[in-house]
Amino acid sequence: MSKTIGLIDDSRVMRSILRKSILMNNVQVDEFLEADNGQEGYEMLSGHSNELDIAFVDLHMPRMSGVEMLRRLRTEGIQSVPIVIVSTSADLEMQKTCMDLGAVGFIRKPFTPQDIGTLITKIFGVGVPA
Amino acid sequence: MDVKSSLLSSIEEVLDKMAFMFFDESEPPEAEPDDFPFITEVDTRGVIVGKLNVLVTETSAREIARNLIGIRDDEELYPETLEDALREFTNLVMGRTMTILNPAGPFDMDVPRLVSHPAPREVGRVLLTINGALDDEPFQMMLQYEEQQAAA
Repeated sequence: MSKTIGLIDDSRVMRSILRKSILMNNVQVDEFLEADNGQEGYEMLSGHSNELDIAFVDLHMPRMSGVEMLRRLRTEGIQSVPIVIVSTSADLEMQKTCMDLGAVGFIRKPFTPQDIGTLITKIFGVGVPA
Repeated sequence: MDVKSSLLSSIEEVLDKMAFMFFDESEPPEAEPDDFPFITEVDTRGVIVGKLNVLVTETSAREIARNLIGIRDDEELYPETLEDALREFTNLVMGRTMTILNPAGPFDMDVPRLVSHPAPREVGRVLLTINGALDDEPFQMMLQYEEQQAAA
């Protein structure tokens, strides 16, 4: 089954890198939904929570951080979308905060396409999703 | 790890993981300022208070952009895409350097920008220059940071 994947990052290049890394793992993608700031990302996740299979969310973004986005989604009971936080930060406390707020994964930049594949496999179960 | 080792470790990791390129500091090719038409600059605050310039040749700039984003050789690489890629590359290198030096510490970085010349030397700041070869092309990084960071 094809996946609908959210990419929320203020860097157009980082969204391209994520797209490339996901596709390199032979994930069949129906559609990438993208947002370039936290507020639009939040609205996208709220409005498409039933369609998105996974979303990659940058931790530091203009207008709303990844943590604030997780907090709002949790407050509003929108937790159907598995969210992976993407960050340069190696702060374990921050990672714990994100996981406590419902994130299903945390990936540190720089990452390899294999890192993305491993994470996707872990989230969707055994084997790369088809 | 000291500042130089952290910066070297960072550039090697970013190139290896995301651009699939190899950096070698041991035998830097000879280079003139004109060899570097692309220069990025970013200011940081946190474990390093300073400014990083990354100087790359046109060949390296195109290779970094194509590899980062996944643009095939037969696809057009638009100038704004190339510049965005170099900005992101600089962001990754500096961000990773900061987290190597202080994994749990908060830090702040401006959005990297393209500049025509490296920043002039600032009084009271240490200047760290790293020259090397990026897949045989000359490559240079210049990091200026506040004196107290020298012992980091």
